[in-house]
Amino acid sequence: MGISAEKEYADFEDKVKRTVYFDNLSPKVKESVLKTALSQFGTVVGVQFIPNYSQFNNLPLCALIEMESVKDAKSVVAEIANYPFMILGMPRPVRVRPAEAQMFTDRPIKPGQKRQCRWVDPKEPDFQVAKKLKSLARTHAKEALCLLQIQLEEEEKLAKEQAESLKEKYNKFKTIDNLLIDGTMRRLASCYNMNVADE
Amino acid sequence: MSEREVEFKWGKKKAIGKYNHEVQFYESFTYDKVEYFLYDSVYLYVANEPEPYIGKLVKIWEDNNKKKIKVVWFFRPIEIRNWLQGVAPPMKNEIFLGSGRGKGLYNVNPLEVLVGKCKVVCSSKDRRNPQPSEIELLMADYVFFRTFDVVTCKISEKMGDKIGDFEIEHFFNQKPGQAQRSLEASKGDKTIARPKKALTIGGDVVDKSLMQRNQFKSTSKLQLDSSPPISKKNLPFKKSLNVESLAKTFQRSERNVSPASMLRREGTAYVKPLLPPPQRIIGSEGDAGRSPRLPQSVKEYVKQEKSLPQIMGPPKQRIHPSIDAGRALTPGKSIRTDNQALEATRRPVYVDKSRWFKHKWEDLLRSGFVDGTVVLLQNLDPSYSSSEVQDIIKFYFGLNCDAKVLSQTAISSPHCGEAHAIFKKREEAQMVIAKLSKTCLMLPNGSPLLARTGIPPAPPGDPKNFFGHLSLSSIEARRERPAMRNAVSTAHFPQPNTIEYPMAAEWSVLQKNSALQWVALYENQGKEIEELKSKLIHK
Repeated sequence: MGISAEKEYADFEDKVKRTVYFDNLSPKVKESVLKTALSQFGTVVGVQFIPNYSQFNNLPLCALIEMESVKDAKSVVAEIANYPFMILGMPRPVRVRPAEAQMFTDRPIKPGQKRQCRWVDPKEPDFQVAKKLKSLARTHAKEALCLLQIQLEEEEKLAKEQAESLKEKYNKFKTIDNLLIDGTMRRLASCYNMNVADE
Repeated sequence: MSEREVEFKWGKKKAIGKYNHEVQFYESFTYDKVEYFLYDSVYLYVANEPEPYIGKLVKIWEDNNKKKIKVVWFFRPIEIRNWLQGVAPPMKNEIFLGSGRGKGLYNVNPLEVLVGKCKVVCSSKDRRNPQPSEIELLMADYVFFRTFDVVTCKISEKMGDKIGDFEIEHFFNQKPGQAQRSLEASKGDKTIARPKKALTIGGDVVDKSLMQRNQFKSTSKLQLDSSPPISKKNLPFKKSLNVESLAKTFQRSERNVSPASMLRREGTAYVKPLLPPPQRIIGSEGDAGRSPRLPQSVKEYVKQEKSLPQIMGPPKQRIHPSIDAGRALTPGKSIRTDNQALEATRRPVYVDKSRWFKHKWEDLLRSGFVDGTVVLLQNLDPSYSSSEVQDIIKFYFGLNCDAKVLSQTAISSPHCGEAHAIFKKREEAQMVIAKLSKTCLMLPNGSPLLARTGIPPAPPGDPKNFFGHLSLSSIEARRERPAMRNAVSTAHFPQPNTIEYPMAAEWSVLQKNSALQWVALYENQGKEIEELKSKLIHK
């Protein structure tokens, strides 16, 4: 009673279409939170977090969320891509995009894949090229890590700036609030013959 | 937590205790809307364990207002993995019946530890065992045909005559011709002619005329459907039976084996609630704050989902009895006593075995990192799946391994994929790495395969360090009001007239920038790769 490879893959592709990829999720976000959050767009079939195998330990989480229908998935992407959406904290919004096959670690084999590898003999000229390719790949990996680091620093900077400005604004607000509370405002207003509406 | 009455009703009486006339034995009872019969296979749930224990009810009685049950244990393969070498590897839903005369074969527990019934089919070829049909095998939650001797720790397919003091026939399948019942059928009117043996159970002589096997086949699925849907108010629960006054002991005695390779679980554990099936957990916003109250294991357990692909692909996550998965379940459990309330919920456990496999990969990886058997393969074709990676390793190195590709995220390179491969031995892993660095295995897309030792990921940091989620300490205090709490914890779109909005906009800008940076980086890298690849003569 086997399922043919094509059918398996077709089912998988359907699933991919129904899934959305979220990142910039706070580590506090758990599956139930995501389900609740996205229930406003449609029925959530499943949530799968993507484990982080890098050496950075405060990366935002990523998750794959499978919706019941392709329409639901599309509406999620459409809405959240246009308006900032907060999950479990503000003001950093989450980011969404439609899922791709390669985001799934347990995907079935794509039918028709070539899998023929070959050992390259050191005497072949290709071997030298291959060596260069290898070191290029390693360099690229390092570049990627570098970029990630830079971006994390930028995020930290923005977060700090926002925290500062938020504190300032809050203090301003508190001052004004206090004025209202302790009546200073009213007295000032009567001094200047202005009307101050009582909130 | 809301208190809730859990219904209980005794069913058919069986006998009075021979030595102690206060004791009344029973053949059936109804607990929390589920009817249990003697010799039913049941689930018993324990805190901190993701999977419930499976046992067979062999004795039910009440003594001094305390309801007790005696269960003979079934063992999951993972619990006895240390003794599975040399025998045929267990099937996906195979369990092992305890046998032998020793500690660990059975335990007496308070009746309240039950969390549901379970469909266990015996597929043993013993001639005394009615052979199950294909349908029955498919519908079963678990099958067993082997025993695990708790004294010798040996696995055997031979079925003796007794398990403990109980006749083996109770453990085999029902004889054909015995009435099958559904949950709703009336009780007690189907009697089966049984061989007239004087059954002695623990020294008490059972009244022969009461020896009716009131078993019926109930599917756990049936139970799932027939239970009313959980409403928000009902999770989690506390029973209002005289729980505090009950001596709360959940016992599963130690086996006399050396703890050398076992992970002992110290401390108390008490039987924890039944888990509602995952699909019903969808509550409203209030639940976001509620879930922390469920014990950690429950949360983990509830996470498992139908979303796990029905098609798992070729069995890359087959059971490796020889690999120490490092899971906390141990073959012998220490006797636990606790003084806390036994909790129970109303739903039979929905055991999703696919969750078990997922759990296993993380554990396999973890122990692999420790053992040095994990290899990180890089520069793969990103469209490869895990089984293809495994095949490549098998074909070109002649080695078996468990492999799983890493997820491609928004920041992964579209040009190369990565995978973790776990080998059985460290030497194999080292050999692969060495060979791939000295020589070159070229993939069909022209990329040479790279390999390095797998390093465990950094442990998760403090979630408070997550950049971008701000809070004001003074506002924290005001969060007591549920409205405020909901406002933050609810997922929402900020309104343009809030302070949140422009800040969110700033983040959006930053995020879009980051995304563009990655695109640019990978485009660049792609060009460099292509340049080099064009110099290849063969492809």
